[in-house]
Amino acid sequence: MNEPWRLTLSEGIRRIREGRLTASAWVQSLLGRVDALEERVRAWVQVDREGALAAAARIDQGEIRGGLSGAPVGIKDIIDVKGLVREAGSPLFKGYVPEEDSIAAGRLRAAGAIILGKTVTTQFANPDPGPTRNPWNLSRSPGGSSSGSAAAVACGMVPAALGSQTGGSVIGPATFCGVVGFKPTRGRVPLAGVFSLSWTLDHLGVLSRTAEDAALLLAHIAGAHPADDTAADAPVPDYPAESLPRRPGSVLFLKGLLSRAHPEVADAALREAARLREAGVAVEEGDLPFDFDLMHATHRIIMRAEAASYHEALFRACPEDYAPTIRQTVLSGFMIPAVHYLRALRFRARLARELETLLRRHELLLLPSMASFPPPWGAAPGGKPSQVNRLATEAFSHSGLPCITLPAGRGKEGLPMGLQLGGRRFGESDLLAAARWCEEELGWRSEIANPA
Amino acid sequence: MPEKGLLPAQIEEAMRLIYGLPVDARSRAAAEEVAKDLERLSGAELRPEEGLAMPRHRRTESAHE
Repeated sequence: MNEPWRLTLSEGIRRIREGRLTASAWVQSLLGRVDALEERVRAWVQVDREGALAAAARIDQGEIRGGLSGAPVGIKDIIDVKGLVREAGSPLFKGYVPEEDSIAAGRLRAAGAIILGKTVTTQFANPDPGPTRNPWNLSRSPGGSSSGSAAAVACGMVPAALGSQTGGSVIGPATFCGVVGFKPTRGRVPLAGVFSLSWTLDHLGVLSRTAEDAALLLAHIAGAHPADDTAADAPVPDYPAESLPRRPGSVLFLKGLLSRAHPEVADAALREAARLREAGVAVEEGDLPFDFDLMHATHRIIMRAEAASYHEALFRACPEDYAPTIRQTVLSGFMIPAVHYLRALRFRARLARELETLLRRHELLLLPSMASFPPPWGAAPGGKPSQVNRLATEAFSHSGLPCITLPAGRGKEGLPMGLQLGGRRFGESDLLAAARWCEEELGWRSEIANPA
Repeated sequence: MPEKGLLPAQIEEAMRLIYGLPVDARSRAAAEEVAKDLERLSGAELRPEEGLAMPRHRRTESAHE
């Protein structure tokens, strides 16, 4: 492997520690990949060429040492990074530069990570399509809202990036772009310094090419912080060490979505569930213990009411500057009576309890990550495939339980498919260990896309 | 608690009165979407003892700093 841009995060860090690679060479190689592809893929809002090279030089001189020394990462453009723009995909924040790091970005930098730049988000992390293309087929959507993070990782512009998920914004684009997408338990990672869509549903997550890299990044961004009201004080394990590949004991394969999925996606899920069984995992079949459509309505009510509250002042001042879908989201949020918002929160608590009951009997849940293939680029959001896809991801956003998507082959048109594993609250070590085992034993691995 | 979801017209009117936002084609479409979701929720039973509490976690000092 002569080209450093092909390295995973963990491989690159190992090479730097062993003196076989410099951070500067790694960053330069990635910048070369960005130069070659960005015009077509449009994954970045800002590439911090000078800042990244300067940080790499400091690493190479031994000034910064940490668990991520020399590791280049991308940051979704709703997450504050001091000195870089944070536009949140909106013309209302064009050119805005925060003066402080978000807690997550600050922790990455303190551990020696090099922030290569800010990646494209759909406007305010809602589904209005952004400029980013799917590296596997430029005429297709990369998914959203962490569009740029997924696309940049998929085509080797950066080995890993932070994203966020309120409905399916990590799992969706990761699946469509054929990379690993990991959403930890709600409360695992502080949200201070992140532009919110929905206070009680937002999560930070990781997009990478391996589950090991997801574990490595999680280890550095997880844990409570005095300046944050969202993160739990649960101990932060040494995730990379505690998630060494391990065959899961029992898995509940959720088949309810298969009838609504694209036939190729359904076939792939059935085939891989059978392979899990053949590999010695106790795979039972079942379904979510609640009505998908009730969950979706509950999710929309909570998300819309909270988005309306968050955006109230800005939206009332300049509604015309909002893209159509986020505009509709905020507008409809104003219309939700408090008693119905509270009713939705009560349903969510029930759904979370029911999922946790399932996870007392089974170590993991398995289901397709997305029910469809990526839609055409720029397609209007919504519609049946989009709604069905949300059903695959909302159970975990809704309940706050951790989940991970791994690539599971490509369809006849060469577009990626994914399988999703869901785990127990704060059970990230077990979830990641199972994911790493699936990568090794079943070949659920990412490939690097080469956009034509 | 209402047994049925509010009607789109009631939702629109409430929005106009509370927020002074205009009633137009966009708000009408939004009101129809909201009404469907409210109706779905209103049609499902909740027991009085089912409150808001999610499985919780505690917060003290930073795990890192």
